[in-house]
Amino acid sequence: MNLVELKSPSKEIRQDHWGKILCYAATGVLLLLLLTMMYFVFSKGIRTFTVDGVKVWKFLTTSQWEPTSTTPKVGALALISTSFLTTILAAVIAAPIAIIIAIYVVVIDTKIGTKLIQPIVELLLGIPSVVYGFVGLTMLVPLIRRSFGGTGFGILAGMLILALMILPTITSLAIESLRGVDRSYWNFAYTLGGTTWQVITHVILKIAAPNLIIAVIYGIARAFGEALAVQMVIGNTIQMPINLLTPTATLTSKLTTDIGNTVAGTLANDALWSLALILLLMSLAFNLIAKRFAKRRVKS
Amino acid sequence: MITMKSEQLLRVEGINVKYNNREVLHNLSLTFPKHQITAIMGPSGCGKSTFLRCLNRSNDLLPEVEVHGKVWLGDQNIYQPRTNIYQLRARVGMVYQQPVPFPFTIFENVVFGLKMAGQTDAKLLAMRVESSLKAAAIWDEVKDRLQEPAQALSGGQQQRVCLASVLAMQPEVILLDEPTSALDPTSSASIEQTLIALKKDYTIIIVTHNLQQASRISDQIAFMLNGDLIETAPTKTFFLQPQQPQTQDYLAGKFG
Repeated sequence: MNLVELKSPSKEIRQDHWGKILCYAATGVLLLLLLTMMYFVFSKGIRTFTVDGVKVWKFLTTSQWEPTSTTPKVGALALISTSFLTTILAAVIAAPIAIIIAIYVVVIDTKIGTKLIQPIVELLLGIPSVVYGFVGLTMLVPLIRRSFGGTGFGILAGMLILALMILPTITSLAIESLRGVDRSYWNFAYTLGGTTWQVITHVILKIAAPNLIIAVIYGIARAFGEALAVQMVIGNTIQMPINLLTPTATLTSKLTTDIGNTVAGTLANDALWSLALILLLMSLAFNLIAKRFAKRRVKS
Repeated sequence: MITMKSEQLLRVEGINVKYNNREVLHNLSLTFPKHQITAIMGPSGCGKSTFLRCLNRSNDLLPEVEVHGKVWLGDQNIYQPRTNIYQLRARVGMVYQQPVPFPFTIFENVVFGLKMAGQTDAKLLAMRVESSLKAAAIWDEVKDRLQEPAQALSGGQQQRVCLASVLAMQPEVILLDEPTSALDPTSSASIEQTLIALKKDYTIIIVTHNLQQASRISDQIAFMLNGDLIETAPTKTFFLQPQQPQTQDYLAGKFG
């Protein structure tokens, strides 16, 4: 053996070196994607305010959307409030059902849960949103029309479709959260005289609570960003949501409806980018909230 | 040895346990004298823990386990269908091998069982926390930090808090499944001292595979092998005059 040979790096060291470069490159792509996306949406989204001279305050607090009229107006309040309303109502419907299903799967009957219910949930997760929208359009909208009058299109249809769509998302995450509660806690609670109901409420739900909240927030984030299915059933007229039957539009449905019908550089187009900017900021906010709960979980 | 009937609190009569239809405990009968410590000994896999779990019916929690036989607690057979297993488990407390305090405060841990049982009287809860932590010999260490998370304590302290949670239910029998095997020698020694102090109020049954520990703290030893009860004797007799050849081999270190 001579020294010259020892100075050249071994095969393993070279592999290690290349492996690292590969990892950095892949991570770099991800970072680049995020930065360009942010830059793109920001630079386009603020044009409404910097170039077209619309006041931010006006944009957020009025609800008239006539960007092509002789006295153009762009107010996103109706869109923003409809987005929040449908999303939150959808979560209010879906979250309790999802958590009850998760309890059934993890605690009550693990056999049926893992062999039947979990595959169903995974199947539902994979169904494209246009299918949900189609089901809503052909079944839900006529049903609402027959039962409550009106056109059938509107917030009620939108929130029900969203609730259906995020049910599997929240269920799947909730199952994981409940499974994450160590079995030994259950056993200890049982040996302290607990009933199954008490073990569920005093131990499993209590310990899993931060993760369950994260599950619901991810569901909300998904509902907030969902466009296609909502657009198919919500009615697509811009007005403030007065009741559950109001046909209206959300941020996302407005975007999908109009983005192909506007010319780049005009106010009509810029205003849509501003809507996209709001969506981006909101999903950022949902992520930050979820992170806060994740941190609380680590502490406890 | 025949104990007088008034002195026996817990008596096992012909217990058979099947695990996925395979018999793992074969017709065990054993009497636990009141206010004494009984050590259940034997090599790993001999069925000690399974046997212990028969005594508070926590085997019921495992769907693959089937138990046949009688266990008398006082004059009641706990395996009769009408038994309230929730009350039973409050009367027969259990401490596990790994300390498993809930991820709550020390206070919440100790009152956990009481709160489940519907006790809401704040004064009584506070009193019971103090007396239980004192009995578990950890009051002085934690009295100023009852609102801190129990999981921030050391392993030995956590095990004592778990013991206090069990004591707070005021059980008659305490089952311990190798309670010190995950602890350091100092913590183990102080848990042993605590158990000796507790036996004047409780009937204690401890699973251990530590011969020295059994000799230090127990009054009676039951030796198990492959699901059979080989020999039961007062601790001194067990070590000095073992009757069965398997016991002699075990004590001589030929297996284990």
